[in-house]
This record gives sequence, structure tokens and C-alpha cells, in this order.
Amino acid sequence: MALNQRDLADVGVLIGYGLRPKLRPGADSEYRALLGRYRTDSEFRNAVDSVLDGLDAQVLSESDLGLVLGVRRESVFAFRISDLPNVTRVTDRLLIGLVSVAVAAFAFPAPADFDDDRVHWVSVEEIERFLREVCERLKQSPELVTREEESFEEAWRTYDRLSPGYKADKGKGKARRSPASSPYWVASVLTWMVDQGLARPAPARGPEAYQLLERFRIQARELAGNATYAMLASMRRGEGAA
Amino acid sequence: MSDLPAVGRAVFDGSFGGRVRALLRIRPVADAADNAGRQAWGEQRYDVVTLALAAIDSVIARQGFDDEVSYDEVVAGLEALAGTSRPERPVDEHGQVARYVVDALLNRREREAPYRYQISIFSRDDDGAIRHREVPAEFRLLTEHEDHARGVNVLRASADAINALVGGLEFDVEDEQAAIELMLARQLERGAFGQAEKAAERSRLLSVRYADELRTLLADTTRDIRTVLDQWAEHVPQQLERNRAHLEERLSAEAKLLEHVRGALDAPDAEPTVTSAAARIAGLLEECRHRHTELHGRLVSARTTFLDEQTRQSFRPVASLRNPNITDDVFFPMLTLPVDQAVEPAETFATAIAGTQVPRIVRFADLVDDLLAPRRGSVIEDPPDPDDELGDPDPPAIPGEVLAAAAEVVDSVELPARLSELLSAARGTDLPAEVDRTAVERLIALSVLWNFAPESVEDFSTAVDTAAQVLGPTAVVDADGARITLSGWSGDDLIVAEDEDALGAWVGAPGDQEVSWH
Repeated sequence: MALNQRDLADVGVLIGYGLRPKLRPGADSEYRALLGRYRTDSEFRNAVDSVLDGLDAQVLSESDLGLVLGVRRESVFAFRISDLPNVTRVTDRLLIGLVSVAVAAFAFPAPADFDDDRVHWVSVEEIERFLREVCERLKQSPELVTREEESFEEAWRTYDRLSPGYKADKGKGKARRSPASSPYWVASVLTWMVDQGLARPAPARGPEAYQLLERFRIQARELAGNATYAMLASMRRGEGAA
Repeated sequence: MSDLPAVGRAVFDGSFGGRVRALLRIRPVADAADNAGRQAWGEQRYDVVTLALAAIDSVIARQGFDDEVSYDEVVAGLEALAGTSRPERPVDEHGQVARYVVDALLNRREREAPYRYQISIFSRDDDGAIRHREVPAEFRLLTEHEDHARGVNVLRASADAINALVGGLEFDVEDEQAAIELMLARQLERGAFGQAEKAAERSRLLSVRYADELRTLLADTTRDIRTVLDQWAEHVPQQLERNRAHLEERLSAEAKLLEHVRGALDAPDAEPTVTSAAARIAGLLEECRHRHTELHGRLVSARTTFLDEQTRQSFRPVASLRNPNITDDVFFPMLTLPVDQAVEPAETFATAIAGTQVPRIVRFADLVDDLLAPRRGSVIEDPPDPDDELGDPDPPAIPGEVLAAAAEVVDSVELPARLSELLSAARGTDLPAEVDRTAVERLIALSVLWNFAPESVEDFSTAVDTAAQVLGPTAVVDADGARITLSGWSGDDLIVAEDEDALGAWVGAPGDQEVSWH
């Protein structure tokens, strides 16, 4: 049975639902119905997957959580890091990336941790402390001392150089975190993750505490970790060949 | 051999460690009871052990269902129990006790890490020498999970917790269950309801564990089918088939039993204790049956899950089946790259974890509005300065008596009226000594202006309230180009009316009135 126009419209509707990360199928009967169809009707499933493929996106998981979509960087649906507030320079983009990886490494230190669906909690203070400790360790690592003489600067120094405390912006009444301080970037990444449906604030657990949601685990496990690993590996190979 | 110290043989037995492990499952609860003395409410001697077991039980009661129990629900339940045991203590304290107990079971103090204990294993060599080594024992009691459909956090009891509560069950679940039912039937026949109830309780807990086993298998299958492929190839199909037949049997058996218990309820000469016990058992069995039905559904879909996952995972690139080690394979290599090279992978990770973003298409009309809108504050909310919070609240911008005086002035003038009339009335009226006349005048003018063109106000609702208080809730304001001539004011002499209709009437025949006034 070939899909008719109506079915194709449903394909679009389901993708539309998948693009809204905070919507859960439990709260929407049409979403639920279409998700059920995606799971059981292989033709419908192929149609959805093909359309997404054309949009440089893919289904990472389909569960009660809904359709979790992953995108390649060239996709129209890809998030643009430069849309975040105060992200203008190259080092700003680097910081957003580094902090994102740090959140994942803090919550899921070993590969097996991704298999455990227990709730994971993080806070601005914990992530900042975690990153500082890593920087300290790198500072004392002997092989790096020799490399320091070379002309390039390692990525971690960008974070290490940030001021660890609050720093008031000039000319504003209330003390705000300045983009020159590291908690600013950690808080910025976590707030952004809340907007993307990856985390939610957990005020009961203390100041600036967040719960990492299931979506974070899926995106990190199914896509982000591998994509980044593959890129790093190919860079190493390129370096070796050169 | 004879000079060896007198030690019982059992300690060298292979199964001895198992017994120690089983006993250790109680230790976190015992420790929690111990540490309770150091809490603020430590003097009150709440029964932490009972509360902890009650917590595990209330988690198990709904585990595996669609509506698993949440942290807050368990706390609320324990709070009620704590409240009943110490009714004279404040409610706050009951809440603290309840949270303390649940947090202890989650091991929140150690950031939800598993409980870790060292166990001594003793063995005896051939020559009789005793050897000692320590092995760690790790386990969890309660864990917190995200309910995907509802988005709330729910609690689940680990197999360790269930076993600790049910009591060292090492044999086959199905046979145990059959045995319990036989026992229950016997006990019912003999009228031994007290024991029968306990048996029914155990049968329910077993059902939970059974469901948990199946859930784990299916979760593993969905995650990475290769880890459970051997199981599926060898004994899972038979096991599923056997389970299915067994469950069908169980459903009818429990229905029969339920009928039997109800028979005891209906018996005319039943003792009150017997009928109440029978009623409780009937409720329990009903729940068991509900659980079995659900399990049955899961069983029926198990094979389909396997086949679906096989299809899905066989077409997935192999790389994505293996989770990379984020710390060693991604995080550290990225940190040690030169800045200009690290940006690409760092941004790749952030983009990939971000998921999707729907591109916004700019509409010209929206753009103009956005550009004209007052600047919004920073997205990141800073925690409030503790000093700010402790200080006195800000005095209201407009004193209450000024507000009252202004409203009185507006009341004294017949609406519709010009702003200039209201202002003149404010100048002419008798005001109490402490009220600043210019403040009243200004408040009237501001209210009228705000009603005419509400804009650029930080605290919108306050402005609405104030204007409504001064001019009346339905007041409308309009301009007709007439200028205000009152000294100290300039601009349009606005028209204030009680409502839209009154304003319409004014616009219909205003001229003479205004001319005569000036």
C-alpha cells in the first residue's frame, strides 16, 4: 500500500512534533497516534526517515519521550552556537563546546554510565569545580610543560584564564556575571540546555542545580559523543599523515 | 590441625559471603536510623527503620505501572506516618523526617552513589592456614528515573531492595509463586487468614520482581541487542513461552482464588476478623491480577521488540553502538588541542547535543515591533543578593493617602471631563495636611496619560491597578487635539470618560461645554 497525500501530511506533522523538544507524546493524543504509526508501519517509518535524511537529520530514538531528532551541522535545524548571548569570538564558541563536553563527562564519566537511566544532577558550581580540577591536573602534567614553549596554546587555557568568581559589569546596578568569568559560561550553557529541553532547573537541590533529562543522555550517547570522537580521530589521522 | 583456633567451618564456606551480602542490604537503613540522632529532630526518636521499609514498599506498590510513584508522593506518605507517630511535633519536622528517610535510601548524601562496603572473605588452604581477602559489595536501594511519558521523576526499587524486603529469595520466581498460591488456598480453607494475608503480600512483591526481570531484559535488548543475543538464542524464547503459558494459568488461578476469598466474605457466619482479612486479601489479589495482566501484555510484545530491535540495530552504523568514553576519548583530547583546532570539535559536540532548533523566519512587522520594544534584561537570572533580601521592603512609590486623595478628586468631578478640569479640581479641593498637592496632581495626570498610551512601564500590573484605582476600572481616555492651558502643564488636554459609551456621547456634543469652560 503506497502512502497517499494524507499520509505524507502526517509525516510532516510527526516531524513537526519531533522538532519541539519539550512536547511529550503523553500530553498529545495526535503525537501519540503518529508515533505509534511510526513504530509499527514500516512504510510510514521509511517516509519519515527519508524526509529527515533530506533535511540532514535523523531519528535518534523513538520512545514515550517522543521522537528524538539528531541533526548534522549543515542541517537547517542545527543549532547555531553563535545565536547564544555574548557568543561572538572564536574562543566564546570554544567555551560553549568545552563546557558542554564537561557537563557530559561529569555526569557520564564512563561509557557504561550511559546505560543507566538514573537521574543525573549537575550544578553550576560542580561543573566549574570539575573544570578547574581538570585544568589543574593538566597544568601539572609534565609533557605539557615542554609543549608550553611552542607557539600554540591549548584549549583548556582558555577556560583556565577566566576569572573564577563574580565580576560586576561596569555601569550596571546589580552585580552580574561578566563573560570574563567562568561561572558565566557554565551557567550560560546550562540555561541554554534548559531551553533545548536537555535539562531542567532543580531548585530543591540547591542554587543553580539542574537535572539532566533523558534527552541529554540520548543526544550525548547516540550522536554528540560519536560525532566528536570521529572528528577528533580524523584530525589525528590527518596530523599523522602530514 | 588441632592447634588451629576454634572457628566454625561455615565461615570458610563459599556461600558464606552471600549471606553476609544479604545481611548488608539492611545496613544503609540501620545507618540512617543511627545517624538520625544527629538531626535536629534526633531527640524525637522517630522509627526510621519502619519508615524506610514503608518507603520501599510504597515504591514497589506501583513499580512497573504507568504511574510509578514520585519522590514527593513517597515523602507525603511518610510525612503522614511520621505525623501519626508524633502528632505533637510540628508538620515541618514530619516533612524533614520523611525527606531524610527517602534521601538516605537514595544515598543523596553521597550524590546517589551506590552503597559500598568491604566484605572479608576467609578461606582455608590445604595446609590449614587461613587466608583473608577483602571484596567490595556495592548496591543501591532506591533509584530515581525520569518517567518519559509524563516528564516527572519517579522512584524505583532495585532488585537488592526488593529482595531485602521479601527476604532472600534465591529460587525460581514461578515456582515460588505457585507454592505461595497453594499455601494461600490451604490457609483459606483452614481459616488461617493472618498467615494467608502475609502470603498474598509476598506473592505481590514477587510479581514486582518478575516484572523487573523482564523489563531489564527488554531494556537491554533495546539498548544493544548484541549483549543479550546469547540469551535470546538459547533460553529466552523458551522462557518467554513458558512464562506466557504460566501467566495465563496464573491469571485464571488468581481469579479462582479471588472468588474463593470472596466466598469467605459472603459466608454468613464469618468472623469479623476473618472478613476484614479476606477483604484485604481480595484487594491484594485484585492488584496482583492487574499486574499480571500488564505483564502479560509486555510478554506478548517481547518477541516483537526483539525482532524490531534486530532490524533497527542491524542497519545502524556499528560505531554508534559503542559508546565512546566521553572523558578519555573526547574531553581530554579536546582540552589539549590548540585553540584554533579545538573549536571545530567543541562546536560539533555542542551542536549535536543541542538537538534541533527551528529557524525563525523574520516577519517585517514583528521586526519593527521587536526593534521598538524596550530592551530585555539578561537571559541568565542571577541569584538575588542576600543583602537585598534581608533589607526592608521598598516603600511603595505612591503613598496610600495620595492615591486615596486622587481617587476622591476624580470622584468629585462629573465624567466625562477634560484632564484640565481634573487638575483644577485637585488644586481646589481640601486635602489633609500630610498629602502633597502636587503629588496628587501628578498622579492624576500620569494615570490619565498611562490610560491613554500604556507603554514603557516596568511593572505593568501595578500601573494597571493604579490607573484603575484613580480613574475607575472601565475608564477610557482620548485626545481631540485641544491643548491644555493650565499653568504648569502642557500638551493635549485629554478627555476622560467613565466608559466607551460615555466617551462616544462626549465626542458627539462636546464643543460648547469646552468653550464655555475656558
